[in-house]
Amino acid sequence: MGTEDRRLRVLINEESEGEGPEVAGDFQIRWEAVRSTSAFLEGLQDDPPAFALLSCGHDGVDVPLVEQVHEVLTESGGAVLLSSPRASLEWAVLARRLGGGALLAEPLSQDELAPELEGRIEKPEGIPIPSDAGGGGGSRLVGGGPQMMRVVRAVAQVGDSPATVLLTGESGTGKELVARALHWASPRRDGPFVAINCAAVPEHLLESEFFGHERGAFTGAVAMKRGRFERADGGTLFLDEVGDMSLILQAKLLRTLEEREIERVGSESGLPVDVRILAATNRALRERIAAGKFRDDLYHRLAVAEIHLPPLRDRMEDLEELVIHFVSRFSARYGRSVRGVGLDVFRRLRTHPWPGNVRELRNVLDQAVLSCRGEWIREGDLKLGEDSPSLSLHLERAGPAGYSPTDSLEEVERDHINRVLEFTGGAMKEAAEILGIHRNTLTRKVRLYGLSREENGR
Amino acid sequence: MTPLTVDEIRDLLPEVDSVGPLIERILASARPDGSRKWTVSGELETLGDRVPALREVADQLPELLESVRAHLEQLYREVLEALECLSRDDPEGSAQHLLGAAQLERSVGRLRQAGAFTESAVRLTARFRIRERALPIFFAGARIARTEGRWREAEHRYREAGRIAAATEDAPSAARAGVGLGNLAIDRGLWQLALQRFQDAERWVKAAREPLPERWHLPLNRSIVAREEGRIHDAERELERARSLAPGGEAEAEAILRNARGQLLRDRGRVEEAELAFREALGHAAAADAQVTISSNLADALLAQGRFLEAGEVARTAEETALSNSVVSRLPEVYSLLGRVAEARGHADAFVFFERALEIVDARKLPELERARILEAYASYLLGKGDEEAAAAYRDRAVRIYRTLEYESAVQRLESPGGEEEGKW
Repeated sequence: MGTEDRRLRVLINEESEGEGPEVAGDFQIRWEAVRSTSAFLEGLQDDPPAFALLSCGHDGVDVPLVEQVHEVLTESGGAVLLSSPRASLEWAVLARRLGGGALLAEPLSQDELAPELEGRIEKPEGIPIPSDAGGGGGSRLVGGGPQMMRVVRAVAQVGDSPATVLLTGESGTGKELVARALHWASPRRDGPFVAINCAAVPEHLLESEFFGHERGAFTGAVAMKRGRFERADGGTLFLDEVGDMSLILQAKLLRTLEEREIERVGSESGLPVDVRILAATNRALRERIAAGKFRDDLYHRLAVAEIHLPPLRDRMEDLEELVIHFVSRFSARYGRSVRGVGLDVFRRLRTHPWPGNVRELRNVLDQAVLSCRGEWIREGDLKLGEDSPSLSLHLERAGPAGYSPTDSLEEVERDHINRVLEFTGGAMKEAAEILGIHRNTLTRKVRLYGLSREENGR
Repeated sequence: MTPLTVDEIRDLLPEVDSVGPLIERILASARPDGSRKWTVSGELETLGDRVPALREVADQLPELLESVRAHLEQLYREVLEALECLSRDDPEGSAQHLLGAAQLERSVGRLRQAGAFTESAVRLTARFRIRERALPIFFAGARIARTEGRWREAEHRYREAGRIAAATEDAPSAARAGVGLGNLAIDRGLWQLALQRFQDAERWVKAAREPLPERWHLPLNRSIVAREEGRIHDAERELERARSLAPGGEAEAEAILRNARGQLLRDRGRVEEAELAFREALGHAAAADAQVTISSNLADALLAQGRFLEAGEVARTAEETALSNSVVSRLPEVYSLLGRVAEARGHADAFVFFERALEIVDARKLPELERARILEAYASYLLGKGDEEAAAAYRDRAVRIYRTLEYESAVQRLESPGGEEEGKW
């Protein structure tokens, strides 16, 4: 283990030097001497050190002050140390009560300080961040749970085919990430990956964004523009939130898919394009087809293969891996030295309904890393939004997953099948559809795991 | 039933002046679509995609009609008083009432109408040779022309005011005119000219019997010039001087000074300290437009630190403030900023914000200066995306506008080789 750099802030009298040994055991100590009690307390809030050292011989040091310092430092994962120029039973008891440490004898020696620093730094119960976590930038599929493995397998199966793929799932489940993974798994990986969000781009701009325009085709067309289809030539075009597209544009998209040719706005000649289409939607397209808002023929063109992305609440087994991944990434981005994530954080995260799925988790952890004043992310660093009522209802029906990393795959599978059956009220056909397995396979697994169908309602 | 968005309402309604206040209220009630909160398109949502609370507006109708009635009554009274004054051979009183009408229109954001009333007042003072007593009219006209980017007209008005004030030894007005001329030079990036104007104004400030607000405005403005010229130490010294002369405990002054401090720190690359200064400034800012500007600066400081999420949140707060306080005219700058945030976050469709900003400039008939700024930011974005042809076309359009407005430093900035890659972009 290398030497750890720790700051030790010490409250000193006017006449004293306030310095001690620079190395104690594995700790490289940076001494910060503060001469007034008020400045000492103020500084703790703004910039908490790993350790604060208070001498019982100092005029301003009394029990309430020590307790106050202890309280502030505990929040940031630090510790308070007490020293005394002479033996004092009262102070020794206080030192013990505040963290189990000894009352240090002054002048301080390296030998006495080292075990105190080792023993007194708070190491909260939790998961440390491995040095290699957060790798792969932002484009890695994170999670080894059964739900995510199903997605990974599907990506592997359809990745290298030219098939159009429809990605379904709630907002924030990582549809674009999977689209990128499909692109990387395809022979087109050296070609461009171009994305467009059909719901974000205003209707009147969408056609020109898709197909491009000639110079002067309309007011504002100050230069010739290549559309997304053209820019994706030889690669992949990802149409996000495709369910929100107008019927007029759906017709134009369908024609392009059939003819594999585009026409820039204001042009009379066609341009051939070689593009693989991946589309995504968070809407129930079948319902939109029934309501006459989405073309049936376009749906069948887009959904040659379909991959469903599970919501985060249904893949809680991946929570730990996701948290470590994001915390590590943001810690590096902001130059913070976050060493781990407390178990209290995981407990809190597991109770949240995650209406925004992994995107919401990512945002929460981004903020948490910025808010974190110590070396461990704690529950107080989390800023979770109000629970969405509709999703709370969904959660009530589905129940929290709460998988532990020590659970075996078999245990997870049994538990998950049980939860899905609870959700469907025991309906096997619906449960098999949700699980993505054949009904006979489900019947076999129900028998294998001894799950009672009656227990699940039907 | 799918709720109507602002875009759909805009497509549906004709542009009729008499429903202007209603449209304002509808825009102010527009909220983000909750069902899109966590979608990518939700992150890119702009005014056009928002869903106005029509029922809420309907409930507010009596209050809205009362405010429209009260405004019109005041406006009509000012116009009638202006005509009656004129019939009583009191052109000075008439001009004052026309100015009152201009101020009323300005208070509800109708700058063109305000400019028209001011112009009538100015014509009156010329016709009856009472220009000596028309100082407030010249100042009001100059202020409106400056807001709209009509700098030549604004300069003319400030010059007239300065000339009259000097002739009558009205030191406070002369100082005010001098500061106004200096600010115009700052707007156009003519730094040396600005310093000369401030020097002229300083003489009048010293000659005045009472302490004028220009005492602290002048060092503050000199600090801005020094910052723009890269004279950081001078900028800091002037800012300190402004602080020492500013009225203590006045929230508006605190907001202005802390915002200026933030900008200075931002330019020095001390973005974390700049963030703190902007947060403090925001704590003192009461007016909605000041809140929007400071929030935009704060978001920019967060963006510079790579804190994209927070930058986006703060910019969204600025958007909310602009919308709910009916200062839609500030939305283009907010959307330009949101476009930069979205670009930094890797959104392929970040261009949506720049497009929306341009649409608002058109729809609200905002000053051309605003359009040029958006085009400049848009060109920078396009260049970053590798779309050089479109970037050049947008940059050229921005240059043409800046040139028309005689914004020399902006023209030089964009026309210098590699200018598009320099810090201003």
